Amino acid sequence: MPRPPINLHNMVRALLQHTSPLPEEADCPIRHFDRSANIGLSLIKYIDDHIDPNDIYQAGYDRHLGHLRRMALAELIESFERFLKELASLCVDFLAPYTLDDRFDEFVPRRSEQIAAFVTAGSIGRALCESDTWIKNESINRRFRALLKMPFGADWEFLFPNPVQPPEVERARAETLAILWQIRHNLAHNVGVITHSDSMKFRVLIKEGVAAERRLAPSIEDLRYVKRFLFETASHTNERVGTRLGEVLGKFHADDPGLFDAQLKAKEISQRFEWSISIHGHAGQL
Amino acid sequence: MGVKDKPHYTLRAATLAKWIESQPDKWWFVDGDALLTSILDFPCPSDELAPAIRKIGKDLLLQDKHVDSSAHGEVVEGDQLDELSDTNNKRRQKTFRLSWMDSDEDWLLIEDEAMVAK
Repeated sequence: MPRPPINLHNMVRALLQHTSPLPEEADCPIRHFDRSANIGLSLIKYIDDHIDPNDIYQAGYDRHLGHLRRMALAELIESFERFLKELASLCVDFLAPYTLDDRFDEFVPRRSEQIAAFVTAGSIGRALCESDTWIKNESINRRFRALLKMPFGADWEFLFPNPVQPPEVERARAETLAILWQIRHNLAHNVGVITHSDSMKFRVLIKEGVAAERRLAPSIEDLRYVKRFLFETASHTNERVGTRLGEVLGKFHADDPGLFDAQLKAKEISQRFEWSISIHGHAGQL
Repeated sequence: MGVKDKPHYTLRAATLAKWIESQPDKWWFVDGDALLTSILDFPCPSDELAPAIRKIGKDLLLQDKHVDSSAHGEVVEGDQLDELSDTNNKRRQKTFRLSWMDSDEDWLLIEDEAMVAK
C-alpha cells in the first residue's frame, strides 16, 4: 500500500500546538528545577522497575535504556540552565522598578528580532533572560555580576569563578559545572559522540584522557551523581543569589525608605526563592 | 483518578516516618511529589526521608493495591505497611501510591538502590 500523501511541512508546524501546562512550581525557580531534575530519573526507574526481563530482548532493552540515559542526562543539565535563567529573570523583575544604572546592559537584546519578546513575555525579566543560552560559566558570571551589583557600584562576586577568580571556595563547584556544560554541548550537538575536539576539551577540564570517537554511555549511577551535584549546586546558588538580591534591595531601601515596604518585599522575595531573605533588617517569612 | 477516588487509607506522617526509620539501611525514591523533591535529593536514605516527612507533618492518603478493597480512609498503623506495599515489580521493591491529604497530586514512594561512595 503506497504511503498516503502527508504535508510534512504542516505536520512540523502543528507540533508547536501540542503543549501542556507548566507545573505549579514554575514561578519558583528552585522548586521548578527540583521537579524537572527528577523527571529523567523517575522515567528510567519506572520503566526499568516494570519491564519483565523474561518478556524482552535484553540487548535491545539495554540499548534503549542507554539512549534514555543519554537523553535524561542532557535534560538534567538543561534543567539547570533553565533554573539560572529563571533565577536571573526573578532578579530583573524585582530590581527593574528601582534601577537607573547599567546593570541590565548585559541583557539588552542586540538584535531587533528579539524586541517582540518584550511585548509578549509577561515580565521584563523573562523578556531579557529567556532567549539567550546560559551554558558557559563566563557568560553566567558576567550577567549575575552586573545584575546584582550595588546601585552604581562595582560588579558583584563571581557566581562560578575560574581557577584564579574569587571566591576561592566556589572554584571547585564551578570547575565541575564547566564539565557538565561541555557534556551538555556534546549531547546536544553530537548526540553523545565524543569528537577529537570534545576529547581535547574534556582532557583540559578533567586533566585526564578522554577517548575520542566513542559515545558517551552514562550509567544510572552517573545520572544520580550528576543530579545530586546539580541539586546541591542549585540550592547553594539559590541562597547566594537570593541573599544578594536582598542586600541590593536593602541598599535601595536604606537610601529611600519610602521606596517600598521592606517587610512585604522581603516576604514576597522569600516565597519566590523558598529561602528566608532579609531586606534592610526585615526578614521574609516563608 | 487520584488516590482519594480509589480505595484508600489515611496514613499519619509520623507513622510513615517511624516505619521508614525502622529500615535504616534502605534508600528511597519519590516519583511525582513536588514537595518532597524540593526538600531532598532522591534517591535518599531513610535517615533523611523520615525526618523530612515528620517535619511536613501532614496526613497522607495511601491507595490500597487490592482491587476489591473497601477501604475508605481508615487510619493505618505502621505494622500494616509491609502488607499494603506493592512489590509487583522487577526487584520486588516496596512501592506506595500516595497523596498528601490537602493535595490532588498523586506520587509514588519507592524503595531504591543505595548510592555508594566512589
